[in-house]
Amino acid sequence: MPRIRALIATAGLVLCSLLTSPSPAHASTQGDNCNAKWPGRNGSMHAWDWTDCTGTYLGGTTGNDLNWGDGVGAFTNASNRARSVMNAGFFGGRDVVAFYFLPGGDGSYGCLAPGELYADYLGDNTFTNGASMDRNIMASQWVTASACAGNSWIT
Amino acid sequence: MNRNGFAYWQAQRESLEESRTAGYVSDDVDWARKHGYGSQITAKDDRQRRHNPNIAYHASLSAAQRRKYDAAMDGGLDAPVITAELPRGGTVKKREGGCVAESEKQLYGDVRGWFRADKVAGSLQALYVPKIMADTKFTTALSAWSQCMDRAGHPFTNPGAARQAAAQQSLQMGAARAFRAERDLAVADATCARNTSLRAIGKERENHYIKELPSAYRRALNLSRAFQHRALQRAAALASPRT
Repeated sequence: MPRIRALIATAGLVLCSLLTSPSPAHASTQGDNCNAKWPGRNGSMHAWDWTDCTGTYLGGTTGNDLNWGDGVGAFTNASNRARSVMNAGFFGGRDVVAFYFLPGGDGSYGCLAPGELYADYLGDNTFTNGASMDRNIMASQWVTASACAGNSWIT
Repeated sequence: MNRNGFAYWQAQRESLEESRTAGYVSDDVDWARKHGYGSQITAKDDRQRRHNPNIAYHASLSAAQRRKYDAAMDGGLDAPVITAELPRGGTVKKREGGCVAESEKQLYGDVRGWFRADKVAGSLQALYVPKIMADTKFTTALSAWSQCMDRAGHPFTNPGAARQAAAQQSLQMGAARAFRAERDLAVADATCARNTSLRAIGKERENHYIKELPSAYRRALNLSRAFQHRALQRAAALASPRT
């Protein structure tokens, strides 16, 4: 496929010059492991069964998995276990990961934006129905930002 | 990305028809007849996403090149962070660096201003949506919708419940049968919504309760819309329209 201009959402990509060195994010212990596990922006999303992207790696994918508890797809036997998640997706289009309270990819959800990188402790977040997201995720899919309610963004 | 020495492939955009967002109520019967609730559009996006050429390209880079790629893309882990305080408490943040930041600057001009207005406007839904749900005009229309659905053989109290049932069904049936069931349900849903004017009533009540918000919040909403409108105009000058 020939190299062509990329688009961010509906925009044309700016052929930008190399960034000058940005001010570093202030150091904190939260998210240290997630930072270490960050694979770079490679189009994927990931989940772990402990906070700060530690514990057992539950799975990762560039696609959707509408049932984390069945025996197929990127996540198997992973329902109601995740305590931290990551969005390393490419920007534009469906670049947000929606995590669901129930399998099926509908109903209550929480949205992780690509710019957020990860949610290192899901206990800090709730689904749109108010339930804690900690150890409660049963499905995930990539959606556009416009599909996410204002109160659904997780950090 | 090209100027930084990297290849970057354009994501395949969904068509105008495919990228329609439904909202709480949908009354487009023709769309429902063709797409149900949109599960096949999602499945198509899923298939295309898995074959995104950028994935293989990123994987082919050396570790050092990958770090440069990430920095060029969005500033990487050390990107500057912008924040927005929400009116009902809490702070949201966003990393803002690299080509993503440059693109957003081109679209929105004042990126911090856009981010804050957008997040504040988004947080307002929690203020007025419960009022809509409790409003007699709306609940009456919703009840009429539910009775219509019941008569059609699909007893649900609200459109959200119908969509959720379709999603659950898809886990239990084969793909073809599940899609037929989804289409039937979505068509009944949209037909009943049209017959009861549910979407129009919901929209009218939404406007009503937005008008009742404190003026500072309405200003944020207007500002957010102004940013979007300007961004759309700038985008139209940069990219070809969707068909």
